[in-house]
Amino acid sequence: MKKQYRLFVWSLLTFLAFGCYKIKGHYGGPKTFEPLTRALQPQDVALPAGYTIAPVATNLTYPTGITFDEQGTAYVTEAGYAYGEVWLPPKLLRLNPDGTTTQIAAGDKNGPWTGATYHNGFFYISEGGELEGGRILKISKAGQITRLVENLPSMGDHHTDAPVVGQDGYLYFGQGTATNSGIVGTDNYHYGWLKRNPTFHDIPCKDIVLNGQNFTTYNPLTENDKDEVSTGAYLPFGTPSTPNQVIKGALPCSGAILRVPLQGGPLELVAWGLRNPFGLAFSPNNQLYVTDNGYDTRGSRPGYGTGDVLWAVQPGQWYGWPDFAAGQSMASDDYKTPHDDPKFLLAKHPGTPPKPAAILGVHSSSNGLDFSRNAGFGHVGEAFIAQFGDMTPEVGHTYGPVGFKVVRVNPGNGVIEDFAVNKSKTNGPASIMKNGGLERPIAVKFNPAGTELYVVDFGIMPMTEQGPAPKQQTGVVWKITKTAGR
Amino acid sequence: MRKQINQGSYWKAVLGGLFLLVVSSCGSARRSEPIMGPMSFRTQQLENGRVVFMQNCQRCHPLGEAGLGPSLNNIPLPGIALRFRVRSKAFFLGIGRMPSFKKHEISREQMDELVVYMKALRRHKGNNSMAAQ
Repeated sequence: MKKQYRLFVWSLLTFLAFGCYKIKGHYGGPKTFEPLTRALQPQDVALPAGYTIAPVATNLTYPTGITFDEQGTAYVTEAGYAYGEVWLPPKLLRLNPDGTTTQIAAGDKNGPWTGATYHNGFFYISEGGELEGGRILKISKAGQITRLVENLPSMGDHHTDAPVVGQDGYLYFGQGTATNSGIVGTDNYHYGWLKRNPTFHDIPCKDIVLNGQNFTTYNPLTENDKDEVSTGAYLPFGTPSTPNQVIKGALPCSGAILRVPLQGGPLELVAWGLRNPFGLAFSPNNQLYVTDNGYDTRGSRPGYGTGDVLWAVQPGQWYGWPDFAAGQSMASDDYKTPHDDPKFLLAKHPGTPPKPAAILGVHSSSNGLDFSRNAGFGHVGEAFIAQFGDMTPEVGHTYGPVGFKVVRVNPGNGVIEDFAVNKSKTNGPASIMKNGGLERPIAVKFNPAGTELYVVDFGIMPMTEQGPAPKQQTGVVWKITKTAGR
Repeated sequence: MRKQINQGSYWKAVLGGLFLLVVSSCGSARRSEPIMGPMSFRTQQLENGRVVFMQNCQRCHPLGEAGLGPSLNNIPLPGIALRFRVRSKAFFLGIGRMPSFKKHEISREQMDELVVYMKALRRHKGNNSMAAQ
């Protein structure tokens, strides 16, 4: 009897291993950045009744953001730099009615350009600054570039994020953290930046007091295999912390929303304690919202099960990084990893994190957002969010692809609904689902009239055994239009 | 004798779990509006259950599909098993990473609403499917 049971169990296991149930792992073969041909099939994208989708620009290389001028002409940023350590010139391109593009401006080897916003004759662009530090650039329509802000702490895991203009005459933008959860570790070496900038680390926006917790790892910066180092929070790799050590706050800082007058001037802190505040948008009632990417299961202090978050931004508020996730304590069994619970790094917390407006999928990489303002399009007051999709297994493991779609969120009650997804048996990017639909949506933006939703699709980026392998010329801009009443 | 009984129970539990997994893996878990059309929320209890789901479950099981955790929409668990799963870490021989949700996190009333929503989501097979194209 026992033998029969075993046989049956093995049969089921075989079925699971080769059948429908898969744990997602590496894919995409060897790591290359070579262009691929992407066969687009709008009919492979499912939308709610009454909406249609069509590609309006193709063959883009790592597009990240879109903005519109007074005439409603669309302009797109190309990142230049992308995860996987590919270095190309970042660009600002005009989208022409025939689907071609015209270059307005190009940057140096200091991408990624993460997004743009147009205001009164100028483009404001966030330059991610992986090599030389983040910048906010002001670009005229003729392509003349001036630096509004520079030396932002962007040479780590996360960059200077896309800007938005407020009614108060300020330019708001997010600045991501250097690390996953406050500790520089070997994961940052594998990302590439620790070797380039071995002293780079997170900077708090205000003074903080540490618990003195340190993390021991091997030292990839030396030839000696047995060399070990101990690293504390907010400190360079190999520098331990001590109990009650004070780390002085500074501006610019990591994991914050900052603002600067449109005409230039001193940098101001809006909110902090964020991890990667990627997308910013004002709602119809002028409330600023931000998407914040949750912790990864990687590095010296991995987090587990922490979703991405939509926050309503309150001036001066601390949002919890590196000790809280979505407003909940990380020092909890819920976030336990094989390395045990993440313990608090801070001896005193600068405040109590608020309740999120919504909690999105773990590893979904919920990025650019915009609010519907036109009843003709529908869902007025709801946030539309582009989900780039997971970067597993580098950031952790999942049972299925997460993200790779556009969702809409009611910020009043946190309810999330899919809006644009691929038609396939399971959710996932077109390259895995073998169809012609969405790949990695990274930004969404309504046209000035609010009648069309533009989706910036970064393109094909498989996670190979050697790391991310973003493919050139696979980026697309899609346009979603409402064509019928419901 | 006692050992034999325990081993028999163990294998039955493993078989049951695997069978559920196989069943769940081969039916589609997709229930979202673009795929299956809009769900109708006829009662406040259902609406409230959706909010409880969004605050506690959505991050790992987006709209009941697989994410960080496995899909839920195609697992034929009765209400009592769903409640036990949400409250207890020990479900299915302690395998899995899902946290348990205590009564101060999901109250008894909210649990009732959550189960109503999860069952409705599972049953939602569409009245307006593949609407867009």
